[in-house]
Amino acid sequence: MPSTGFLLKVEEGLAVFPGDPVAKVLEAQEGSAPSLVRLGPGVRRDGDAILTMKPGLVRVQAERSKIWVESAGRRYVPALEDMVIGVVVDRHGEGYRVDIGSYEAAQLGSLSFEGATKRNRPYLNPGALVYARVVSCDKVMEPEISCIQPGSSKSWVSGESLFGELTGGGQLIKVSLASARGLLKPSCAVLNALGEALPKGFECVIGTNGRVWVRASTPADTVIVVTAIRMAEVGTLGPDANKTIRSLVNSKSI
Amino acid sequence: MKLDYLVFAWAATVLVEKANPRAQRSHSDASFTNLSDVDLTSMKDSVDLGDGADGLREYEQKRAAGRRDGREASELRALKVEQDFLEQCDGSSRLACGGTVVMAAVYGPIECPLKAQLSDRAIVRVDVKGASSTVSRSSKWLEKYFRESFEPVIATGMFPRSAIVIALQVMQDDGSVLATGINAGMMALVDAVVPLRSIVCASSVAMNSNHTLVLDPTQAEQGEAVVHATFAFESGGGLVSCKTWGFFEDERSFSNAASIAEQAAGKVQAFLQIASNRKVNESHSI
Repeated sequence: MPSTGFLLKVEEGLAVFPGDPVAKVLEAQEGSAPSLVRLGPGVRRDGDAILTMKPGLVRVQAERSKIWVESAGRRYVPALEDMVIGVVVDRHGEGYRVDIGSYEAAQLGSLSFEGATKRNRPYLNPGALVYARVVSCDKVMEPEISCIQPGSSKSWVSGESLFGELTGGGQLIKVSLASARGLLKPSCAVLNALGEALPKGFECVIGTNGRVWVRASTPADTVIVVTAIRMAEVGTLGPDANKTIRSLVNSKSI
Repeated sequence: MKLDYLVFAWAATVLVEKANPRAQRSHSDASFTNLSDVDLTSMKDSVDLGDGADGLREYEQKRAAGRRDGREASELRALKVEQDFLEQCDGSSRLACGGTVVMAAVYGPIECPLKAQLSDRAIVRVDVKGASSTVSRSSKWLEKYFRESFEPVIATGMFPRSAIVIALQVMQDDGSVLATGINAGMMALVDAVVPLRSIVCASSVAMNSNHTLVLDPTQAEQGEAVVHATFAFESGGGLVSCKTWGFFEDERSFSNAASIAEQAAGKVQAFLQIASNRKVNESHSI
């Protein structure tokens, strides 16, 4: 079976149903450079046909010959390099068991923090929130997360490191996986509008596992941010997000 | 989440000739004795009555099947489906096939108790609740039947040591509840974005006392049928499961029933596909 070749008959943005054939892989012709065909989430190979496994929209990245199905779901399945928000469930000798929303709790080593040593490492209580990176998600064992960012020299002590415990209050909400992906885009309308509308700004951490942590300078601002995110998720923000959010900010009832 | 509501009424393909060539005309319906004395086929050849003759012929064919609701022998009831209306679960669906309504909810992959875990794949668990709340032996058997229909197409190898739970609730039973349950459960699995190799769709066929094979029997038709069976087919072709009540007289009638059911299952799958694609296209993103 050829593993290099070309993707044929791929319609970007087509809505698909599980079991639909979306593409065929052809052997590379003589004289042309074969490319590796990469199958992302939601597709599988059956001979030289590529079939879908999930309902959603077909996406293609032609320059990398990558094909996948973008689907909307609620149940998180860990993937490598995902940045997730976890809730510490238990502490044991080697580290912590953290709930990241998958069917098995993830392992977080007690030394997996930026600049942590045996004498100098964070102590997390059950119920603490951590922002971490998925470093291992082989299906044969539990997923592993880590709060170390490769190439960073900031220490966990100062609180400047990207990953680590989320402290200082704030509210954790659950959103759909597709909403979390949308919020992570730099062009996200609702977060940009909130940044403009709130004078003191706010901080939010978005986990790819469908969890968002919001902390603003006042509880009222936190409620505004959370309400705006929920409205964006169900689509009631309307065509002019700025206007709706300004009316939320100015509303005296919050 | 937004409700997706789709109504479809399927016209029949005339498979009644394939099933039983003798069932073209029958005089079994006593309340219409006036028309049964008229010989329509000779009239058609001699005089062109326009639409009237076609309507009469169609009426005769429907009478030939003798169905109470006036459907043809291979006509499905109207299908309606609704998705993603339950908040707590990963996927939900409610499928109505005429008067039979089944609701399905899917959770998965979720944590599985240690005793029940499988080391290499997910377990599939089906909970069935009938219209009455008692747990009976037949409901346990139903759970096994549904599980064996769903499990082959779920990519369980992707989630070892987990569980995928499908909860089916029969809201109304007017015949063909097994087939509707499979279709509803499959729609909920699609809604939950559980990875599936292909889709399983089912339909029922009954043989009534006239030896006519009728598709999608109602409760009354099931009760008076000589034999009725539910067939579940995979989208790539191939029978996944089959349950029969009664005995088919010979292999030919069984295979006729299976082929009628296979065509109907293909229609149901096309319907579910349209509903799912519509929801995907209309879905709102941040």
